[in-house]
Amino acid sequence: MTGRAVLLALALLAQPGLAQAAGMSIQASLDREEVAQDELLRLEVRIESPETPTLSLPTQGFDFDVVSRASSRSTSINMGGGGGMKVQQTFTYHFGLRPRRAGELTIPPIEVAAGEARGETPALLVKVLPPGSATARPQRPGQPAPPVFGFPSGPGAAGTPPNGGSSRAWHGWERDLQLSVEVDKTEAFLGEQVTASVWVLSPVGVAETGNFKPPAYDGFWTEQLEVPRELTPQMRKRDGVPLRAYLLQRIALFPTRAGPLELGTHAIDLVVRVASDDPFYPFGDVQRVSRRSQPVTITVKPLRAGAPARFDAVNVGTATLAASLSPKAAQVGQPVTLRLVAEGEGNVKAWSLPAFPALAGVRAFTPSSSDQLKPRGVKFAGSRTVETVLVPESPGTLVIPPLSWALFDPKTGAYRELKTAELRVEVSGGPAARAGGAAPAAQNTLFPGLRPIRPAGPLVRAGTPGSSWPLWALLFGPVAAFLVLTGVDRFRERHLADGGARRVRVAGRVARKRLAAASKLLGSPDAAPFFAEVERALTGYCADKLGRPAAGLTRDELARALADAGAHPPALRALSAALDACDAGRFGGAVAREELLEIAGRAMATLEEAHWHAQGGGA
Amino acid sequence: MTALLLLWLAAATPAAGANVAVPPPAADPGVRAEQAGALYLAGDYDGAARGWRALVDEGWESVGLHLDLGNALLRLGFRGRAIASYQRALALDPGDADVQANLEQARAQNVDRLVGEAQPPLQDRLLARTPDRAALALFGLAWSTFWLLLWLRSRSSPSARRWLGPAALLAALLAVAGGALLAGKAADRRTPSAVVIAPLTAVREGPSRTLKPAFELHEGTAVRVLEAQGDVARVRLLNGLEGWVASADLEVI
Repeated sequence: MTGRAVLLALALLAQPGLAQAAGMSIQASLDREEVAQDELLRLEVRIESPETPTLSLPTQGFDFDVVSRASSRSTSINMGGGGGMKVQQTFTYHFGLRPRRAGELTIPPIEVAAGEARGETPALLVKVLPPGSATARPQRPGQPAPPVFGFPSGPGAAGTPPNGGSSRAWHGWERDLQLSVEVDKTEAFLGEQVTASVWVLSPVGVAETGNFKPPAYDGFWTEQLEVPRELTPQMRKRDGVPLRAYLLQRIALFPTRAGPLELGTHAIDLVVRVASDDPFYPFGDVQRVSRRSQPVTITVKPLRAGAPARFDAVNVGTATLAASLSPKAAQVGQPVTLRLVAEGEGNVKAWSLPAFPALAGVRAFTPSSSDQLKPRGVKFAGSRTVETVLVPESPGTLVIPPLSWALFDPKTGAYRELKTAELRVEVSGGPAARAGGAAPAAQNTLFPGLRPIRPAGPLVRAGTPGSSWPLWALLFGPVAAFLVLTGVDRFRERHLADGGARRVRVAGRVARKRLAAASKLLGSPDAAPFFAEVERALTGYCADKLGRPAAGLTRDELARALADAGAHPPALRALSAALDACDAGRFGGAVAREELLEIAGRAMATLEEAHWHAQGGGA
Repeated sequence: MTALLLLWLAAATPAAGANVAVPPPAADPGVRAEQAGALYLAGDYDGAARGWRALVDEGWESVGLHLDLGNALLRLGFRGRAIASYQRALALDPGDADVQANLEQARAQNVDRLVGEAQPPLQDRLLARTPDRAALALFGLAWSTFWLLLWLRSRSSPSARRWLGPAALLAALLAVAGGALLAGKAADRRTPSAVVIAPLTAVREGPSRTLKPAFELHEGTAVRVLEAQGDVARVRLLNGLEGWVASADLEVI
């Protein structure tokens, strides 16, 4: 490097507003050296870099508010010089700055980074005068730009469109691009509508909006009136400058407290289309900018004194009041709808309509309200309806007395008292009336298809199946009967069994009694009864011992049965001999009666010695 | 033994048990019912209704009595009370065509139309169609027959036992069915049916009258009473909606 080149480089670095970083050149300029505190200062930072840079505004010692921000980029291709094709990008950033205080202020260096390259702008000085001070006008389109810090204050110095047109070279459009809030009045009564319209005023075309941030509207009840779906410009002139005006939204504001209320700052990001004056770049350039609106103060006056009784401060506007009853005639117990409608301009949704009076002999249900909003141009309007259901409980004329509603009219600044007409409904008799004992003729409700009455029939006492005693009788009666019957059976069986044993036990005694009876017949001239009695004594004894009749058995069958029952053979032989003697005597044989008694007695004694065991039911 | 069986069969007849122990009334209820009928035919529906209502209040009942009272109430305009009376008649004889026709006519003027009303399950329909006495008779006869067959089986020959066993089992099954019907009716009585008798009644979400009404019911709408607290009752509609209404606006069937 020659000594001349070093001196040149040092001279460049020493110039304010110009800084040089590796592969990146940075320029910074202001549109004026002197500015009033209530004016805007324009800062332009131009960076030539192959990569997109990022800027970091200083936070310390920065006595300005950034009210707008815009950026643009241009690309140039250099084919000459023997170095091949060279692409150079120029990034231009514009900041609208509002001084926070008066005095000699310094804009600290702004750090710039592009890829690995780092740099910063030099510190810039500006003199800030008190608000309202006269300062030199900044460079306007078409005027040569005064040098700023040794450099032209903007590219517009090269020439700008004369009629408010735009180009990348002219930056006057940035100054005229504004976000504006317009109100139809700055002084209003409490609850009176203030219409606020938010506009974008721009000398260039606005392609897109975004990130719209309205304030909180503290102290206002807000209702949307209009929000256009598309940006449609209207032409306006301000200070002779033709502008496009884009409506962003129109809202109705209803102050909720008296005193000065400030509409805060709105903010929005815009994409504007800037025309090009480069003959080799005929297409428009798109730039992104941000804008904030100025706060607007509205003075809210309290409502005037002399409000009517039961006036509610939310009832502000112009309206009409009407009441209706439906149906016009009803029966006792039939619901009737009482409807009260207030219609007009104002904060309809906040209106407090008069309460329905309590009516004797009428059941009233909780009223319900509904709103129907129909804005009239820029005025918020509509109707509020309150209705309730009344059920008359007695016949006669149902009278709804006039309802009164006090309203403050902000147009006249006076209170108005609205009244409804008296309403009447004729209520004819119904069930409730007849309960009091009206004439039978009036009680007959016609039911043509009603099946007739019938004789009541046998009346019975109403009972409850689940708790009456028949159920319990049914439940336990059969069980008890079953147990009783079964017990009787068992008893009878046991009783029969006991009788057989008894017969076995007493068989000998019975037989001996019969033999004793036969002995009394020894002297009888007829021998047949004697022999029959002896035979009955013997066969009866055998039947009792066997537990079954012995009369039908042959002599052998009887002998076998007795042997099976435990009789000894000698006893069987003695019995057989006695029965043979009886037969012989009965049929005329020569048998002595005394001898037969002896044989029978011996047979009985022998049989008694046997070891009898159970036979049939015997024991 | 024959006398014992006759006694047993007599005890197994439910009507015999249900109709006994009636204290002698001050006046013959049949005569009073006829007098009320005469008033009705003369056009004095109020007098007729009072006469029949007095009998019902004293505990007398019959299908005809409830039908007649329902007719008088309906002509007087007490549609909800008439529906309740008809339903009492149907509880005694679910198949009575006259009662069904009049009940349908009374219900035709109902204001409320329930959305999502579901058909009651088979068990509920069976319970509704079975009179109390029929359920009691079925249970009593089947239960008694079961024990009778058991007794006969214990003293019969082996050949007779072959058919007495299955017969006893069949009787036991019928007794279980009858018992289930009685149990279902007892459960029904714990959540009785009711009819709205007021022209309009507010249904709230809780027993407090200060609560905002959730919806409204009109005269004639059938509900089921789930519980009662003081002068309000929790009811359930046929479509499952529940709420609290004033007890005075209901008539329990």
